[in-house]
Amino acid sequence: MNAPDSSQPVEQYLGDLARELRKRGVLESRFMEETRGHLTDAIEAGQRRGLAPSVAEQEAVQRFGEPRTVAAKFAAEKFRGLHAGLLVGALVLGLAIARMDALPHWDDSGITAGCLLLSAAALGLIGPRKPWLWALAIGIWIPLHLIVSHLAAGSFTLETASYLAILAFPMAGAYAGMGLRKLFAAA
Amino acid sequence: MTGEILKGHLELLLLAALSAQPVHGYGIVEILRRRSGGTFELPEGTLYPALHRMEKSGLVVSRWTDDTGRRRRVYELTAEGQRSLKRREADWQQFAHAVNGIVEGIA
Repeated sequence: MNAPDSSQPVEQYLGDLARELRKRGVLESRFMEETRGHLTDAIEAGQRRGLAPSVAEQEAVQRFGEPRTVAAKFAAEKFRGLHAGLLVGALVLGLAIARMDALPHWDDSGITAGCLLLSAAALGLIGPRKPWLWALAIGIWIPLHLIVSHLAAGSFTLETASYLAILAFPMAGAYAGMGLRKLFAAA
Repeated sequence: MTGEILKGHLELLLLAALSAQPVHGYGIVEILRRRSGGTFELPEGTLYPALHRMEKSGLVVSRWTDDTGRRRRVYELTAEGQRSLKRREADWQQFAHAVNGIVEGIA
């Protein structure tokens, strides 16, 4: 029987799957090794049923599923439950930073921006699938507080709405965290 | 039968496939295909995320073996997995009985 574990369709499939997993920040050597073993078993079983090696290889990769589907399922399972916890963490962090920023004696915007950036980066690193959500949950409170205060005081102008630009810091942080996670996964 | 229909029952099927002995991933697929008479066809790669989740929740454990000269990861039910299988089997029997009663009533 041919050595199916070195076949071109299998290598192609494993490459595609690794790329899809890496894109989602969940590339794991254990899963890749299990996949290789599974495909090898499936090809051998196909050949025992009388299939030509090339047909058995095609059937094996087809039955394993589209790399994108398999990777999406794997990522969904990996992050199941994690996102709810991260969202709570992001909301608590965001409220704490907003509270700090609203203190009467607080006038260091640089530290506030740094806190927004770094906390969002940490969450983007842990949960790379929804960086925009972490950024919003962390960063929305300061502009919201400022806008509501101006609305209540009757001093809302177009300039007030520009406070939303503060969201650029957590957005940048969260996407940087996501990028770092993907770099780690690729390494 | 598609993966979508199987979705809600996948854990029960995997627990049942592992009930007799430790089995590796492809072995599980073969058991499901054989016992279902070829009815259950789902993307085989989607079994692994479910197995990993079940391992995380303590229903199965896994280890690498090379009994046949090639490294394979085999999965095995834990005591909690055995208990979960019994519970889910009972729930399934009750559910199937109820559905049958309704469907046979239509005929």
